[in-house]
Amino acid sequence: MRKRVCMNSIINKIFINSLSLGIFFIDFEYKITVFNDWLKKHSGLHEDDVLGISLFDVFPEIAIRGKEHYIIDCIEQDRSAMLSPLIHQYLLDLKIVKGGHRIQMIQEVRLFPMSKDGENPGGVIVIKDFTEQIRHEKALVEKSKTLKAVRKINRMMVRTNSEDILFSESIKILTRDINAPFVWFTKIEKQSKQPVLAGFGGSEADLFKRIIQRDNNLHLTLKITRKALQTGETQVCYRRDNEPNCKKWWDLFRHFQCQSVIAIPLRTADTVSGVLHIHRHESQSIPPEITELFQELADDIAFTLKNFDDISKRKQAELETAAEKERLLVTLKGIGDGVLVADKKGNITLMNSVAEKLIGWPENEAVGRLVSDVFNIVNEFTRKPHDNPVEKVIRSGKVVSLANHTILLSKDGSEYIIIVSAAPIIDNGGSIIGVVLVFKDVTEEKKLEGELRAAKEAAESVNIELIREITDRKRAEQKLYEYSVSLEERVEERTEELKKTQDELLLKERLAVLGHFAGSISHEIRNPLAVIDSSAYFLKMKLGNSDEKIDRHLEFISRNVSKSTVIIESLLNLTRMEKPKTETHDLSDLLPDMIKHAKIPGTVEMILNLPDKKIYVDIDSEQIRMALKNIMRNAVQAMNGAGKLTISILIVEPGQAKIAVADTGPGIAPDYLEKIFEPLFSTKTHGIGFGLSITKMIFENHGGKVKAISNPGGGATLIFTLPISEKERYK
Amino acid sequence: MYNDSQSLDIMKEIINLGLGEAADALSRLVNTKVIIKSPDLQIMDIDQVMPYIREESTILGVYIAQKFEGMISGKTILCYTHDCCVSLLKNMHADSMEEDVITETGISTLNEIGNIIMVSYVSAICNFIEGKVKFDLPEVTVEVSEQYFENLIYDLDTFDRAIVVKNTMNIKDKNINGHIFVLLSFKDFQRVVQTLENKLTAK
Repeated sequence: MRKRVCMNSIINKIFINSLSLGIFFIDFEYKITVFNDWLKKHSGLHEDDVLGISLFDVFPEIAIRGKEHYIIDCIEQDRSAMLSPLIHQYLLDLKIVKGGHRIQMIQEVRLFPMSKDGENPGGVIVIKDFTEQIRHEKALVEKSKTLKAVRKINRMMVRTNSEDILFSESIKILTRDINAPFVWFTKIEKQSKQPVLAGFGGSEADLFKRIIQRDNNLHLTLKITRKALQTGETQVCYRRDNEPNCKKWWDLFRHFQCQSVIAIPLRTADTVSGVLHIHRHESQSIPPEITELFQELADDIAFTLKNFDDISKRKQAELETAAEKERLLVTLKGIGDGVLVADKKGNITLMNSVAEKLIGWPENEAVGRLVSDVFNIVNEFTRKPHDNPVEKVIRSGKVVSLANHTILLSKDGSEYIIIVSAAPIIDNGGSIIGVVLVFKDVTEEKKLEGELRAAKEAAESVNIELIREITDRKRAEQKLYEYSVSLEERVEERTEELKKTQDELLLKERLAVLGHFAGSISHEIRNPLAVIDSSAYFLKMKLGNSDEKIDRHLEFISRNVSKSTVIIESLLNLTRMEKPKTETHDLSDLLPDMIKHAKIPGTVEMILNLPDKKIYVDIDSEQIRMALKNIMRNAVQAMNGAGKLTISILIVEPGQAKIAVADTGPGIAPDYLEKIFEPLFSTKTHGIGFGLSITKMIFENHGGKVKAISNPGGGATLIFTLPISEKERYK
Repeated sequence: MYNDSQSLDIMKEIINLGLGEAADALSRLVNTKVIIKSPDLQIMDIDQVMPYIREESTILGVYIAQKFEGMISGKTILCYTHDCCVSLLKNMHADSMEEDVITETGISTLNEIGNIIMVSYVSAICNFIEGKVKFDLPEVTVEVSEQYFENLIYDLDTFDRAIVVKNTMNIKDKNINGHIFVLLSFKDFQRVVQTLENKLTAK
């Protein structure tokens, strides 16, 4: 008996305290009679505190939560009961610590009545901690849901080729299948390299949309986003941590009823292209398996995005290549020459219509055949087959051109003279992958060439004749031109001579008229002048020295009569100018004597330049003397009676002697250089202007000439030429 | 097969009452409307149960079995297909439930539900015959082999009769179809039937 009691006691101890269950006994008055160690541990209550006390007093929350009837039914109606954790959560308010936080213990409660023989001594309440089980099952559920969502997204990614669809569908699946209140993506803009909002969704999408319209940088303000982008590592943020500097987001968290958010970078091998954000209702830490699944999902999304990029670039490249190929094909086909493309084995891959026509093979029949089968070429003259240019190119890797005189034998028997060129097609690695053969039908051209050559030769011979004729004509034209020029010059000369002669004739006529007129006037005037002179002499004799005034006036009369007489003499000289009576004289001897008799005033410095040798001239010395006298008198008058008078004799050229008379007067105006030798021309206030005209006449009568020049330093020089004596010339 | 239609009708009515009470209790518990109907009731010998089950539904299901003893002793089994149990649990705890896995938490919930339902209708029968029974807590078994029910039947060699009730539980507009088996010994079955007949005769 004692042994049985001991055994029972041991068994009781084992079952009550060793099964990790909360066990307490209550009596029919609901007072606690047994309170096991598990309950002590989890409630913090000591046995002494609870034994004998009503259960409802120790744990008032039972009644508060309306669970007391289960216990009452169990005791009073002898009814066992079960309180499952999902429906009831807990019976006793017991807290446990999980993950550093105190949380409510979730309990499965079984109530067993303990009646015996109709009597009800009470009941047993067994409590099992289901917290971990619930958490584990929830985690399993979440993991399962997450896995299913990830699989769905992966299946979707395989079918989609659009970035926008990828983001929007992923968001849809995540918000629906894992019950996330809010999911959003940022992505790195390719051009700006800045993060931009790429999509968002969830039950709070509308709210977020309104907020982002007011603050379009909101997506950049979450710290974990920036950190995820920088580090490429998953970041988690819990509302319970209550991080500062993120008030906007905490407000949103409150609205979303979310307790945490996970930011998973979308990363490929070396870049982070965006971040996936998943908001969660749960406040407990995200299980590592879930985090891993999200990371795998993010990696898959990043890889797909990269593929889109690659695909779109590849598609673009393919499109461009196709377009380029199309363009090339069109170009090839449109070229006016025959084009034939072969692969590196010499099989035809492409032909254009010109090639088809010339070779005589349609493209669809020729493609695939060897070039040598369809492209038959022979030498124009020898008719021997040419080497296949395609094979030559393949062997040598160089461009091959066939010499002239190549004939293409078409399939239909036609023959075409062609020019052929073949070039290798080389890939990026430098290997020959094909050959392009271009050939041109030059049959017509050759024919034309021959005709042209003949025509050219004919034209050339005609041309030579023409050139000769033209040359002759040009020569004749040149001669004509030269003759016409010389004719013009001669006409000009003659005209000049005629003019001069006319002028001289006019002058002579004038002089003759003048001389005749002067002669008449002189005779008429001379007689009265003689009478006046005689009368003046008589009066001077009779009255002599009686009155000074009378004497002076009588002197005036005499002097002026003399002057008039001189003038009349000059006039008469002009009219009586006879043909010179020439004798041979030495100018060098004659001139000093003439100068001496010219009565030059002493105020004038005389310089005489005579040559070393004698100069013989045939002259009328009296006339020359008169002429020189006129010249020297003019020069002295020009110098106002003082200055330097230089007379030089020179042999200018064979047969001519020059007498130059230079003064230091004011010089002669250019307009007057010719006029001073005209009769009645004078620049002096007195004198009639016959002196130089008489001088000119004298020298011209002697076969000489006269000229006047102004000296550069001042003054004038009159130059007179006389022909050297014939006798002296021929000595 | 027991064919006394009058007794069957009364039995059906009694069980309906019990199920009605169970539905009320469940409604209060899960805070959502629950309706349990029993369109069909049969009485059969134990050896007819297996063929019946095979005909009616898959053997692989969830069984909530509860022993009772007192005025009558026996075992009652609530059978649902796996999918029905999953639906039932999802309707109650959508957030926590895996789609097609009945976890320990789910088993605990089924336990409680089963307890409420089975106690209700067995108690209804006992009340009618003015007897008292005591119930063990149910056991939930998620069938993984076909052997379970057969073993159950073989284990219950003391039982001779089975009251088989088809029932439909409507919760959140979802119908959960199941079967109720009340397994009794011949003696206890007779007592129930006799009491029913006496009551009818007395009326």
